[in-house]
Amino acid sequence: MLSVKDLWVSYGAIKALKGVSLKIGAGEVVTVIGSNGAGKSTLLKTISRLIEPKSGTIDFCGQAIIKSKPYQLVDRGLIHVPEGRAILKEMTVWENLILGAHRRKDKQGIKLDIEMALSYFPVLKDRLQQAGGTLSGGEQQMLAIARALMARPKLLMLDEPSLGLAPMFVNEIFKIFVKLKEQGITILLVEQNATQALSIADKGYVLDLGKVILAQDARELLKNKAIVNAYLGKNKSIS
Amino acid sequence: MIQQLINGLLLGSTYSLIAIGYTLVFGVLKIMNLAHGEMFMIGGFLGILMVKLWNLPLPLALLGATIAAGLGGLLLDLVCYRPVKKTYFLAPALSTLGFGIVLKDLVVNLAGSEPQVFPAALLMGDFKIGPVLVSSIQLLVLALALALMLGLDWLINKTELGRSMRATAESETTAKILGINVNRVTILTFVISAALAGAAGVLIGLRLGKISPFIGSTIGIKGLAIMIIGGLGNLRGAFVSGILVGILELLTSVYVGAIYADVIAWTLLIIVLVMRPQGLFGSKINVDRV
Repeated sequence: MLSVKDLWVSYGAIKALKGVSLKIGAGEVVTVIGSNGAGKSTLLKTISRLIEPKSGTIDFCGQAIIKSKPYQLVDRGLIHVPEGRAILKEMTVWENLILGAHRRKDKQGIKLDIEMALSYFPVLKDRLQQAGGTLSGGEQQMLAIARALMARPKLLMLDEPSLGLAPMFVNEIFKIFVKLKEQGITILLVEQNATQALSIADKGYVLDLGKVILAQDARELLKNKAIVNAYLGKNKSIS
Repeated sequence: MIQQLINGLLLGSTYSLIAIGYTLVFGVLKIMNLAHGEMFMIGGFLGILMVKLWNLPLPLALLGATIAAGLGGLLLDLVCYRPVKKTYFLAPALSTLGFGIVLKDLVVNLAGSEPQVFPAALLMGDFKIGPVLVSSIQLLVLALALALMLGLDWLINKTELGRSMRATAESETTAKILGINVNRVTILTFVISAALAGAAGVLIGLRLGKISPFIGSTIGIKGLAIMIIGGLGNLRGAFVSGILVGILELLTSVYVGAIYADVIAWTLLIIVLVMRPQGLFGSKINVDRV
């Protein structure tokens, strides 16, 4: 579904990605783990065309998207939920949701999808007319995911969805990811919380200083002592 | 007294229209559009010329001037905003300032520096509501200004385009990942803002009976002060402070002296900047932006 080949990205003189390649098959959950500054967010931002790469190719559903505009990617079902959730704080929860369906024209379908999104995240139902900024961190993360679902994603790219959330919320969000996977949505998950990410993933990539240093079956990665010690620090895992 | 309040309301409603155009561009794009006063002048000028030279009826002239100014907004985006580096906040401010100067000089060279006068045939009758004398022109100006502002309020708050504009205003990156075509939002922001200025130009031309090519640097810049008084990027703030300045100016010119009328907007601006820098209606968020 998504194929990234030899991607180079730099911020001025700093090379953030040094030839990253990665493949995601339809229906898979793939997680990218790595320490801060490894280039995980840069990778997602480059795929969703927020950052211009130096070189490399990105194919989505068999077509090159390296020259596409961000809104064209949304049209084709590649949806990015960035780090920090990117909730529109001054707009209401309902407006946030409806903007998730910005590129769609089917009013009836949008209505049904709002109901579906709210059934995933019932806590948002009572908050529809509240400004996004008044929600708690966990609620904002739920809104961000609900809003992404409004675009009917084929591939959902999630950047640190568990960051700063209470364990209860983290578990809830991961349960939703499993549900989404069952619905056939492909997921690219960037996580600090690597144990939990690998436990729902099919494949894992380890990114270090802008390079993929390991790409393996998720279960294998969980067994890999060196990786567990380096990236899956005990205090980061939540049982 | 009531008579003066009504006159002030009429004057204020055109100020509001100008200030709303400034605040729309500032709110969505975070730039000062210093060509806005000239857009307003162009609108008024074209409105008069269309009536004078082509004998167009007033509603058509108003529509024509609004559309022409809107196209001016499109040109402004293409020439002064898109090619300019946005990371340096002064760059778009200076490029729009330059665009305004070019517009002004073009008008002076083509039509001369004398004010253009509306034909007297347009001046319709006055009528009385109780003791208050209101001219039909004034009533028309007020009705149109209110209709335009209510229309814009609806557009911004209730439509998908309005939601995309507010989303872009809050965060361009977020707007992009939601699939909003930020370029399109930018163009439409410039076009709507300039079209409102064009309409305001015709309306103020009707009220004054004439438009000078230099009105952009007097009344146009006054609109900038009114925007800041209302709170940067705040549409309703611009609306209310426009009306407020209009009424205060009228009362001042009647009870203190006409030469002091122009002092009002600037005095109010200084008071607001000292006492309440976020503007009368500005939120804390807007202060952070400034």
